[in-house]
Amino acid sequence: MNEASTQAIIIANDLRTGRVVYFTKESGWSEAIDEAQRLTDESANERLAAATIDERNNLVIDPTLAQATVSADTDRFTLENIREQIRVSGPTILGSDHASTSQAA
Amino acid sequence: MYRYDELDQSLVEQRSAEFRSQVERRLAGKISEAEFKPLRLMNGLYLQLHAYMLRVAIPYGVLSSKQMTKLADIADKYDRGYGHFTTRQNIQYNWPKLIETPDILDDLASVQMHAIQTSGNCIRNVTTDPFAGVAADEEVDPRPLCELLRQWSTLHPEFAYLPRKFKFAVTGSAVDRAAIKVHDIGLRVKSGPNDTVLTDIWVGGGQGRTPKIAQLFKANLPVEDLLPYLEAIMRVYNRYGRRDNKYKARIKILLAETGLEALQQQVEAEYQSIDQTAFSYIESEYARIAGNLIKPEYHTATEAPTRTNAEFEAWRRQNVKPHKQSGYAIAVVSLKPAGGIPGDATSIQMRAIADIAERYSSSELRVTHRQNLILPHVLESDLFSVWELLVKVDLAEANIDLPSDIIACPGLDYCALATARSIPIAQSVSKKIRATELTTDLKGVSVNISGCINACAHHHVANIGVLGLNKSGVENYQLTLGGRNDQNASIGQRIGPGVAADDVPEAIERIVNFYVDVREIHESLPDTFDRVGKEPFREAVYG
Ligand code: SF4
Repeated sequence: MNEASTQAIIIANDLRTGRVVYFTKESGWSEAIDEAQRLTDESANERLAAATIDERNNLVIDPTLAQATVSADTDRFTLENIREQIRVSGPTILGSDHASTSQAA
Repeated sequence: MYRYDELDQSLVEQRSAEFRSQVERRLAGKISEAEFKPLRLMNGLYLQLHAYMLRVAIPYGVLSSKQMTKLADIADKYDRGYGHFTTRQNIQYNWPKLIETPDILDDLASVQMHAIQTSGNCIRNVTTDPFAGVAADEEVDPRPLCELLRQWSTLHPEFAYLPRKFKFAVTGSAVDRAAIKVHDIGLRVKSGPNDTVLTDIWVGGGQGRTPKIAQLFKANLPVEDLLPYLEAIMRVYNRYGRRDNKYKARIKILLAETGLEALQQQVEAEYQSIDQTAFSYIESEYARIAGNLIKPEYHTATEAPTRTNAEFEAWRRQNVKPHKQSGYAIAVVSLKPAGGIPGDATSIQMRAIADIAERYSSSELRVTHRQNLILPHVLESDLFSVWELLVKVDLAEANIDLPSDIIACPGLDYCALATARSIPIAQSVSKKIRATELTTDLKGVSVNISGCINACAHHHVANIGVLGLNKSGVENYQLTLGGRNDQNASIGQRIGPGVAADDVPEAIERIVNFYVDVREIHESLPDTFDRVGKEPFREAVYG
């Protein structure tokens, strides 16, 4: 079995709506996690610098790197930090219509 | 409830217009996030994990039907159809957009509501006994004092940038339902000789990472002298409170580091230096406010209720409290259905309860610090009709003051400061414990769950406290026992290592079962804990 590897995505909040957004390959922002650009260790800081320009341009707030583990067999992408997992998937509240997941999910 | 005047109306309108212009400048890039953040926080707007969160002030927890209906409308129009009532007797919306917040503030202002001083290092919304003015055991109605404090502290220029946030709670009863001993300042109003009103001032209570029970700072101060005295306390705190370390910035730390007597002397010296004539208005203002409270027209006792059934009787036993007016009752509406989200209400429920209040409770509602709602003036003969209407909107859970009446903060499902989740834990605990409390007398056993050491759910003073932490990336829950949040307030003790999320309901059930096994007649859980000690409880939980 192959080793798992680590990757990262860049997460921020949209200034106007506050919604969770992800930095894309095209250097834009999307509310869809599938459109988040997956970054290797080498590219992560450079892309974060690019994302931070949008913070200065008043598009997003606080872009940060969220680390994830990627299974080599299934390519399953799992964020390492529970805080970021919840940020991506929305509130985990049991059996409630309040718990509609964030726009991103 | 208090009748606001044109001054109040113009203040909230001006503030709303000011925030609209601040948001416009932020969106146009004229101010940075660093510059904007303190401005939005002054208007109760936080940025949480998934979205902005707007905290709306409900001064001393009193709401009219019209205001509650507006809160429901806002939930539908700008949010996701629900709101979350908090331990500070406020309401929070979890999904507002920045671009729509000025419109929300305008809508709030249309019913004299706002979000001023619900955040930031200022004097926050004053809280009080949710039964204020109606409790059968009340000595003095604390609402005139709460309103006086609201007017004094709102936009007080000297106290807009304190070392840290500052919280007041007020009670007018010997039985403390406002948790005054775990606030920065707790006030106990009581009657003095010749119809005078006196206040005891308790200082330095608080929760968070250094929980403290307040100390009696000044006893029997005539209410006319209270504001200059409070002003003196605030000035000393503002001057000497630590600004170098936010964890040591609350007045509880200043009190601990300075010592009670030395701090009293500093305050006394400051008090003497204050121009008392500037406060000569208090006596007449206090009387004016008291006269401006809209009092319901109570009818003389009517015939006894005729309709009943077993579920209604269970609800009446658990949720209905004695009123000072004969023939009337206080109905507590539980926002804690077993398996539900503590403190949450949908817009449908908010509108329903606003309608019920309009019909049966003089259009008045209260929010409790235990995250429930209150219909404060219900004719006993109307209770059955009220209960039937509550049943229709799932608001008739008969569990007030039982373990499933859990206080829980938003935790890691929403809060940016959280270390672990609270709400799903509360859901699992209430589901499990509900079965036990239906067959065993567990009245008065409190369970509070906080998602981090900031302790917004007051877990330190719960009989059973649960604190969510993050241990090497995994949520872990510390259990404390023996806390009290009444007039005999005490801090709970940790009973052992933290437990995994899935194990919390079982651990709480073991605690409760052990308590039931060993308690003496009428002995509360903290009293049993004090009598038998930590070890047997620890053994019961960890085996
Ligand atoms: S206790 Fe912590 S997690 Fe809970 S609401 Fe307060 S700050 Fe957030």
